[in-house]
Amino acid sequence: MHHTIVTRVSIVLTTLCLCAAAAFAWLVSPGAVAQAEPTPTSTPVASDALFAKYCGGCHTQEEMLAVLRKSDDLAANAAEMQRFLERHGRSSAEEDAQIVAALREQAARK
Amino acid sequence: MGLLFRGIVWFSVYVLLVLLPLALAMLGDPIAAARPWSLEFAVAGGFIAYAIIAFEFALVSRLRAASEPFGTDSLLQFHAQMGVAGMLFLLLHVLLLLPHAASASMFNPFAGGVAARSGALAFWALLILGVTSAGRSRLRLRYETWQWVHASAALLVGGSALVHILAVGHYASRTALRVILIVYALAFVALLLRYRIIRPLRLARLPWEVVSNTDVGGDTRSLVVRPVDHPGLRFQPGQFVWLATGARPLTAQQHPITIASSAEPDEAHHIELAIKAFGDWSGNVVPQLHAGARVWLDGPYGALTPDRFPGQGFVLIAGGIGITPMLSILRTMRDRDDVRPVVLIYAANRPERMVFRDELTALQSELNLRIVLVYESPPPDWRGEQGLVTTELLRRHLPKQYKRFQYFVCGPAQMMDLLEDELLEVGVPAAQICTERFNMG
Repeated sequence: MHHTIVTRVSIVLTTLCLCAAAAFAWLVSPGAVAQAEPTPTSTPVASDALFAKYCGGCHTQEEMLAVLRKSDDLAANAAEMQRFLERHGRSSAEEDAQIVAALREQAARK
Repeated sequence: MGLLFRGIVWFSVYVLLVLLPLALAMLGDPIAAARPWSLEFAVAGGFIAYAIIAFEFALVSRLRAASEPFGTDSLLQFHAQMGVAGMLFLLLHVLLLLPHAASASMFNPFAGGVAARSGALAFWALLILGVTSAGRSRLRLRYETWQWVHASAALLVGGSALVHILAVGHYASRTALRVILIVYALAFVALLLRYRIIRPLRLARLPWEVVSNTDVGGDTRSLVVRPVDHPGLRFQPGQFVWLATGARPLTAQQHPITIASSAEPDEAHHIELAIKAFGDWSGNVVPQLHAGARVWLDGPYGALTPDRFPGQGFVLIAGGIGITPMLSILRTMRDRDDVRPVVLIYAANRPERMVFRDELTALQSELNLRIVLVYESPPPDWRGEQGLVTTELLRRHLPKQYKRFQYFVCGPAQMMDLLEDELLEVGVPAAQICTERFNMG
C-alpha cells in the first residue's frame, strides 16, 4: 500500500480524534468555554487552604457540597468522599479527613 | 468478501473502538458541576490516548484476517504513526492538566496517591517507549533488545494507564465505561498471550529443518528448509514468513524473511529463503545454521503478490535484497507458464552486490521478461544504466502500455519512498503500485 496513503489516514484519524476531544469538552462543560483558568474557591470554610491546595484546581466547594447532599445519608456520603480522596488525591489521610469534616460541617448547616 | 470491503470494515471497527470510551463518558447524567473546558479536553485526550495505546499491539499481532486487506508493512507503518498520535494525546492530557495540578510532583511516580503515581508511571513508560523506538539506531540498540524494551514498556503503559483512569474515577466511575476500559486491557493481554505463548506453542508442532545454507554472494545466504512431518505451507509468490531460530519457538528470535521459492511447490515442499547480513542475527546466527538445524516458519504474510493484484503485465523494481520477492514471482510465473510481459528493474550498488544474477539472466529465455540492471557505482566498462532509478530511467524502459501494468517495488525504504512518488509522476495509477518494507523500529 502506498506509504503516503497510510500517513494521510493517520493524520486524518488523529485530527478526527482531536475534534472528538474538543466536541466532548464543549458538550460536557456548557458555558465553561469562556473559563480559561480554574476558578478558585470563594466560600470561606475551616480548611480553606487544604481544599484549595488539593481540590480547588478541579472542583468548587459548591460542587463538593452537592455531592455530600446527594442523599439524606450525610455520613455515608462523607465516607464515600473520604475513600475517593484517598484514591484520587495527593493529600495524606489526615488531610483528607480534615477536608471532608469541614465540608460535612458546612453541608449539615445549610 | 472483497479485500477492499474487509479493509473498510476493519478500519471502521478500529475508529469506533478508539472513540468508544469518549462516547461512553459523554452519555448519562453529568457527574458534577461543569469544570473548565481545558480540563475536560485534557480528560478526553487521556481517554483517546488509552484507546490508541490499547490497540497498538493489535495492529502488529499478526491477526491474519485484519492484516490481509492492508499488508503487514502498512500496518507496521500505521502502528508507528498511531503510536506517535497516542503519545501526542498523552502529552496534551498532561500539559492541559498542569495548570490544574497541585504541583509538578504529578510527574513523580513515587509520590501521591494511586492515581498520581500510576499516571506518572504511564507517562514515563510511554516516553521511554517513544524514545527507544525513534532513536533505536542512534542508541545502537540490538533489534532483540529493542523488542524486549518495547514490549515491556508497552505493558507498563497500558497497565498503569488503566489503573490511573480507574483510580481517578469521575467518568470512569460509570459501570459501562469501567467495563469497556477493562475489556480493552483484557483484549491486549489476550492478544499478547496468543502472540507470545499460543502461537509459538502451535509452531513448535510444525518444525522445519535446514537442508542447505549457501553463500550466494553480496553478503547474502540462501537457506533451503524442508518441513518435518507436516505438509509445509502454501504461499503466494512475493509473500514472507517470520523465520524463528533458537532452541524452541517460545524463546526464538524471529525476523521477517521473504520467500524466494516458486509458489508452485516441489515434491519435497522445500522453501528457499534469501537472507542478507544486516545485523547480529543475520550476520552471525544465520551463517551458523547447519544442515539439520531446526527452525520455525510463521506465515505466510504479505500483500506484495501478483496473485492479489493481477495485471496485464508487471513491472518489478528491486533494490538490493529486495530482489527476493521478485525472484519468487518470476520463478512462479515460469512454473505456471505465465506469458504476461514483465520488466524487472534491478538496482544495486555494484555488480558484486547483486544476487541470483545468473538465474535471472536464464529466466529471460523462459519468460516474457526484460531485465534492466542499474548500478550506483558501475565498473568502468559498464554501458548500461547507472545511478538511481529516476523518472527518466523509468520513461526509457517502461513498456508502451505501462499504465495497465501492476507495479511491485521492494528495496531500501528511501528508495521505495522515492519510487512511489516517481511512478505517480510518470502517470502510473496509485492503486497499481504495491510496496512492502520492513523497517522495524
